[in-house]
Amino acid sequence: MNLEILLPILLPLIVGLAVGIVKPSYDKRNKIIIATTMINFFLVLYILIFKTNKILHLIKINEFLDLYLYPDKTGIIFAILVSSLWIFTTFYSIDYMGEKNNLSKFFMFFLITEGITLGIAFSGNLITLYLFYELLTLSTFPLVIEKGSELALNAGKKYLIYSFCGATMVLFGVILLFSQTQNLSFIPGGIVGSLVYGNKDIFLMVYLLLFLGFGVKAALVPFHSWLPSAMVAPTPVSSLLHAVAVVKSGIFALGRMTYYVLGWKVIEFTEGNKYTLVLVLLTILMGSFLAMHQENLKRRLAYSTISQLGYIMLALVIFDSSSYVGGMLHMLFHATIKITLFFCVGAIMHYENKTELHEIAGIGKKMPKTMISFTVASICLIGIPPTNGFVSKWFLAIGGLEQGSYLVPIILLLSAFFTAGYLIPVISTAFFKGNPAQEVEISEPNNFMLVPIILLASINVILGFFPNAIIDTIQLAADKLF
Amino acid sequence: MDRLLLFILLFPTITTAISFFIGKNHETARNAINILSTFINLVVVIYLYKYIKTGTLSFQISYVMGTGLNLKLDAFRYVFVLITSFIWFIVNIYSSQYLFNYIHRNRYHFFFMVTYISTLGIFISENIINLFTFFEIMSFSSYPLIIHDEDDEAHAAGWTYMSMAVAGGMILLMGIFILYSYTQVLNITQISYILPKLGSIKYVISGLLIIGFGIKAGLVPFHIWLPKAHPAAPTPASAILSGILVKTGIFGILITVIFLMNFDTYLSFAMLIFGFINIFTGGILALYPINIKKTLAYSTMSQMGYLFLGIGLIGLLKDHGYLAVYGTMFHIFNHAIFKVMLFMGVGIIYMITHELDINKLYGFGRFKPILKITFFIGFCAIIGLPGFNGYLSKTLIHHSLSEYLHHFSDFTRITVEILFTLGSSITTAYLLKLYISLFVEDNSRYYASYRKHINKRALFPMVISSFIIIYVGINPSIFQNYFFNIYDIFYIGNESIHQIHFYTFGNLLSSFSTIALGIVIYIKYVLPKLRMKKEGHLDYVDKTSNWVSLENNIYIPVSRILFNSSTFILKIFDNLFLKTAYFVSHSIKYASNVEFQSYVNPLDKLESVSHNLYETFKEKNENKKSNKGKSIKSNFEEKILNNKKKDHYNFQELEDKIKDYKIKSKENIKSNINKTVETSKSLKAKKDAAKKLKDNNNYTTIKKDFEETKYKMNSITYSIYIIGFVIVVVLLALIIFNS
Repeated sequence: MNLEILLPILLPLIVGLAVGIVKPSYDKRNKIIIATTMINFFLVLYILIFKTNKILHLIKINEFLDLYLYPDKTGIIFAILVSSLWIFTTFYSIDYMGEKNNLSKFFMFFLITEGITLGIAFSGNLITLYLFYELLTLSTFPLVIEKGSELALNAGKKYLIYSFCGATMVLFGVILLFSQTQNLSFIPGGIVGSLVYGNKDIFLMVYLLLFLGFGVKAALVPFHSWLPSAMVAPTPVSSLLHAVAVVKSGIFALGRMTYYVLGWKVIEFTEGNKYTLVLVLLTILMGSFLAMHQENLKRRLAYSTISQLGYIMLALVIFDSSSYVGGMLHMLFHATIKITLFFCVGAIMHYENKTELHEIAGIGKKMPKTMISFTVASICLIGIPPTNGFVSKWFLAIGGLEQGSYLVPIILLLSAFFTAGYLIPVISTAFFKGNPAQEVEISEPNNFMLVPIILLASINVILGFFPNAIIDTIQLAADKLF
Repeated sequence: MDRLLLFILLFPTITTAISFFIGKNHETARNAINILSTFINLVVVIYLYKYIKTGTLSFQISYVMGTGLNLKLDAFRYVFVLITSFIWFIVNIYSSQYLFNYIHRNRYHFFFMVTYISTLGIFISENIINLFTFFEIMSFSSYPLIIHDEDDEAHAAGWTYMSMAVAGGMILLMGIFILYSYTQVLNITQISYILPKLGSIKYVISGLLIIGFGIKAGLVPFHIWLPKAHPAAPTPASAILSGILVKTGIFGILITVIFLMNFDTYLSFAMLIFGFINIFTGGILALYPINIKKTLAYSTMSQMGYLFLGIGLIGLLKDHGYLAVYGTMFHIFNHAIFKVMLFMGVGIIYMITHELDINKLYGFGRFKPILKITFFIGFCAIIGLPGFNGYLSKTLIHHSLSEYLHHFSDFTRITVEILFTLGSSITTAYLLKLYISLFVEDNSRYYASYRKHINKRALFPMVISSFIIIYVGINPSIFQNYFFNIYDIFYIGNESIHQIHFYTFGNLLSSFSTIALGIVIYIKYVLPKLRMKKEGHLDYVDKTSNWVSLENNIYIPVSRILFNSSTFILKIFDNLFLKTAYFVSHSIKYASNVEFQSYVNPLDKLESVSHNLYETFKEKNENKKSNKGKSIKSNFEEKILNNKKKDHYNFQELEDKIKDYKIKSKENIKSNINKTVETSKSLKAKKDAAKKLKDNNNYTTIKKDFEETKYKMNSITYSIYIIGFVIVVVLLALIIFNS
């Protein structure tokens, strides 16, 4: 029995519930949480080495409701990304949330979310994915409304409604799909195959429903409004949810749907990707353009996330091996970059209580290491070589050109220009504005916050200089699909 | 020995990192380390000469940075590398003295060295992605140098510079993307075999590359950052900006037009035209400014015009372009030296007086011999006086121009000659204005000697540059002797290489006549027309402030229009879903309140009873509701009026008020019918009240609260309407697809 596959999912769930019920003291709780996330990471590595491509059946009620876990290469890459970034966020949130006593509920849902995200990563078929997807909404909702203020409650309500509407569309699509194929498992190349000939419209319907439904979680325009509103959550939640757990789960589910369930040849036959390409390009442009208008730093980064997710979705609507490599690379690189940016902004919010752009003038002299990491991460995001953002952008643009579309590189570069437009003012205000002759003493954040920030920033630069290992791995996966 | 190529990049990186960390506490040590490392780099570069005399050096590391690192050094690139190392060495010595009473010295020196490393990297890159990498690093690391003073002028200059640099980088990248998708190779030599054979797409590619590099080189109409960035930056930064950084753009254009496109005729002809446009635009615009650094900035733009001219001639003359190659490369070398020297002279003036206004500085240098002599040498070099190095390169370019015009009609030849002469004489005119105003006029304020203010360290670089200028001027064939194998790189046939006689009667005559014409322009136009009497002295005025400014009248309005229209369109998409849902639910809610007429019915009695109950119930709610509505509305107005006096808006109070309202309303309102038209009216009233007082209210938080309270509806209603909408749309779609 491959019961070990269930372990990385169950361990955080159980420990989370225990933390929530027992409510240990501050020190004990920290130790338990750090230990759990680290053990989880090693469990995922264990599954990588020993248990790839092994099935674990959970429950089978009938042909439709057949839940099983099946970690394959894509899923394990996602799981490694999730579990490693969870460790950084744990350290960060221990310092950020402070020593308040009623935080057990927060950390309970924090750990439960990790388990559920890993469940999404390891799902073997579409119905299991849907189950964990719904559970993800439920388990992240208390994290969003953690502050308890009126604004937070409204944001949470909006988040719930958007997610459940999306999930409804997904369910409808799943039912339609099952009615045609009697099968919902993930197979490279898709399970539809030749069924599409003659039923083009139904499969177009299925594709659009599933794309829009999963797209809600992945912040596709026009279903993106929950993301800027959800920024009322505390920063560890915003950074993790909006860089790793929720939005990347949406993208991951979209990837599964495109390449493993429907298959790209089917989608190309039904010409559904032309409609979704329009939405994706609109997402890219709108996100980066409107980010320039936001004064609140976290909202700025939220719109930036919307735009960057559009980049990854380009991999899913342009069927070319270069853009697939670019999209997968961007999924990994964007997670680390965005987490760094959010951590820096969160450190400013926590230690200086400054949330708007005009308030942080001259803060680079007070928190130099934090703001230098922010600068490094912004340069990675804009896509300046030799950083990792350039590598993924290169592959995406080349893929677009190979498919004969000049619009894709133009929009990518336009969006990169806007990215510079909303990130460079932040850097410039932080370092070069404010009273230059004033002597300020350096008060950096605590080590629990500072070390993750610096580590993540350096990982970004290192990945930019030596990305070849990762590129080769993903290229292998791409060759199998195309 | 190929590893030395990596050495000249890695060694300064390591020393810069060390010097940055110790620079916070030990300033002299940091300056010493920086100067020493640039000196060692210069020595290594000079040592590398013996290798490129006979062949080329190359160095590669694959599997780094995605596409690998590919470095190459041949005689052509060596000119650029040599002037970079030399200029950085002397400006480093100069800036250690110049910045002694500035703040943020550590930051300045760090970015100074990073710019040095990236500029070297540009000149030795063979892989076009490496070139782009170093190009972007150079753009970004020169930004803190420009913004160093952190005042408003510096920030405006930095904003213009950065937006043009990033836009240029993106255009360049677009060109590289299309290039790669057609050629699938990234090395310059390999591209040059494939690119000229493509169809007309090659003009799109090279057009994008030329625009991308041209923004850095000051090609009209992308030159607008030059006159803003030079006055705002500290003088050593302006010196390297003018001396070397614009040369990176020239380098890129040269590679594109000559090597990648293989001496393409159309592009070279375009470069010829652009060259003349630049010479004249830069020259004419340089006659007017009051800020002396701005004059020098426009002068750079004008001299770049000569280089564009030279590049065009290299492309047009192909294997007979011996003079064009010689002239262009020589002028690159000369211009770097004398422009940096002029900037350093101006910098010394600024160091002493902290003034850049020509009307306040007149007569400054009249009794300062060393400054006067060195500045005079630079002045003679740039106007092309025989005996100095500028004369040599300008004569060469002039000759190659006439060689190209051989097979044109006499009329064309004479017109172009006149244009060329006119361009050169305008150079004389504006520099004469600068020199005479600074060093010849009489001003009693500056009679004292400021010897004790100027250290040897600041004058030493200027003296060295002047020696080089004179030495090269006197030995004209020195450049040719050292760099003779450049011609092989440009495929110049051996038969066209011949000895040039610089000091012939014809050349001397044309040079002197150009200078004479310049003096005439100065006397006839600049002196009478550009001066006005102010406080007993003829001051210069800037007449261009009434002209059309390219930046303010074209770039900024166009971008503003684009920005605002895109904002409008994209904001619609931002709120599309939300506003549709709100509109649908609101309209259904409104429709649900319409009352229908009831029939006469035996059940009338029952109905009337229930109707009465409903009325009383409604009345009760109305009373409570109208009170609530009034209290909220008056609360809001009160709050807004209070804030006119208070400075800080109390968000917490408002939150509590809303909470109160919510709790009380929850107790009364149990179902949808209770949201009567009154509530919507009171919301509307709130909105009107807020709109009226909008002008007095600058706090975005209030607006945010309004937005939030607008959407505060019953969650069940909201979700039912949205799900219903979705189901209706899906059903419609199914019907359409299945019919």
